[in-house]
Amino acid sequence: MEDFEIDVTFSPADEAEERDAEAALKAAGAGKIRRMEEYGLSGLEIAFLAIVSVQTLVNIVIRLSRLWSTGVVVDARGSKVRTTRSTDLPSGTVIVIGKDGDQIKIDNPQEVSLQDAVRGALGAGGS
Amino acid sequence: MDTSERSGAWPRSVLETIDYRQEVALRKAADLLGLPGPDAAFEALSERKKKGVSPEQFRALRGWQDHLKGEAWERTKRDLRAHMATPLAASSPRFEDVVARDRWLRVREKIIRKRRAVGVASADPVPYVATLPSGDLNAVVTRCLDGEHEILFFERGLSRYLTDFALVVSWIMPPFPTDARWNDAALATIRPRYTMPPQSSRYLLATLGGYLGDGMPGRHAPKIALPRHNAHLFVDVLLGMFEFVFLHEQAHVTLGHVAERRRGHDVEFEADRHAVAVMSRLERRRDFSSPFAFWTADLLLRAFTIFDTALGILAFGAATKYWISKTHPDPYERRRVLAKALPQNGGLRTAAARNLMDMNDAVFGRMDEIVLPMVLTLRQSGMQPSPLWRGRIARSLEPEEAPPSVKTRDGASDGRL
Repeated sequence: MEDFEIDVTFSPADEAEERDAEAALKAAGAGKIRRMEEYGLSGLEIAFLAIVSVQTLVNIVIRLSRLWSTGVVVDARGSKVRTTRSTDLPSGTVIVIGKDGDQIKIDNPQEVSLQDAVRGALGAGGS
Repeated sequence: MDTSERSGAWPRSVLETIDYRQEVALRKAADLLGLPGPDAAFEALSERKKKGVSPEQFRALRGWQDHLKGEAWERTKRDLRAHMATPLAASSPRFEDVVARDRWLRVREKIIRKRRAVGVASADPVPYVATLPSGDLNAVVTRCLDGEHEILFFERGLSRYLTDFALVVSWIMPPFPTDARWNDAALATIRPRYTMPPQSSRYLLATLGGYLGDGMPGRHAPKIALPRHNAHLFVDVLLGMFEFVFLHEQAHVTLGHVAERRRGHDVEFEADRHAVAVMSRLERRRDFSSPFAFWTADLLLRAFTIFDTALGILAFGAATKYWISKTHPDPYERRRVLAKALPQNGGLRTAAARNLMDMNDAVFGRMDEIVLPMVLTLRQSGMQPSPLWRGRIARSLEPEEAPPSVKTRDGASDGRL
């Protein structure tokens, strides 16, 4: 499957948390990282846009899941695959939303299970 | 206005950022509203259910038939037609996008022209403007993907809400002299009326009900008529409120709040003071009335006060509500702080400003008495706030039965709405 664009959006508690998230993207192998920031009622929100492969996205989600200590939502319905943190979900839980809106919930995801879920969400077929 | 701004002349990174932010916001709105996707959310949150307008319809809707002619019209037609292929793009020709964006662009252009006219050089960055169904009553500032430009995203229904509110203001105010904008003596002697025209409260309730219940004012309500006795006042009030909103948001960039990641009540007070100071300075240098500019800022905050009070009633009923937002002070507090910046030199300017503020107190006190019980009736008949406002309610309002997070503040208010 060809590389695709993702969006990792979150409200950082401080600059260190933002640096850590960017470092996680780089360490996982994300390319062409761009940054967008928004200043609104809920405070500062940062979005990193990057080009990734399925494997890279899986690596990113696992790293962010540990970094944030919250749940993570991967939403493939839009023009970019949007990855956000969710304080409504327990730490270690990942929800993957497919292009058709179907959701898969994975607790403490392993690389293989997450890869299957992401491939399914993107409609990329088997592993 | 600069038609090139509708012709895709904006930097590519700005358009890309706007398109993507709109896509994300509309998808979020679709999830909240239980709709299938961004397109459905766009339709649900548009003033008019039209997929697009022809250039001729656009010109007619704006009332520009007699003004937009010849080469300018041919160029505008070409611009509008050029954008018809991308329905969700920032340069979309849909009525909602064209009109809403156009309103804010004209505000931006007007401020720039005023500054030029009085020779006030400004180092303020000139942000790009767009709309979002943000669920925040005002605007969000986005630094776009190239890191070089700022975009102000105004809440999708905000311009319509302010337009309707300005119409209501024009109905409930006594006839203003046509030279009120530059006549402090006249402004100092206007007396409020103590009986509300019956249609004014109905208009305000319809606007509030639409915005609070549907996330877009006026979807199911008739357009508010323009009062003949105050048509000029409507235009002046509307532009004043728009300018204050725009300058407030621009101040977050100008004063370094965005770059320094500063937020909180003090930051909002600072942006309010900066905005009204810029407005007053520009008006004075043009020999216009600075109290009038001040008054329109107060009216804008009253529009927010009524909105949030009604939102609290619709969400929690008649119980006392506490304002708990850590980032934004409640609009009542903003008005109180802003009032400290009123002209104090005791001259005609002070008298005009005081009279206008007293008139607002009298008129809107009466309006609250009439409209807010009607909002409670709407709740009792089953109306709930649109899910679009869920985040704003959770961040800002807490009913009395829960222990309030913010019970007291300095000054007169104790946080109750």
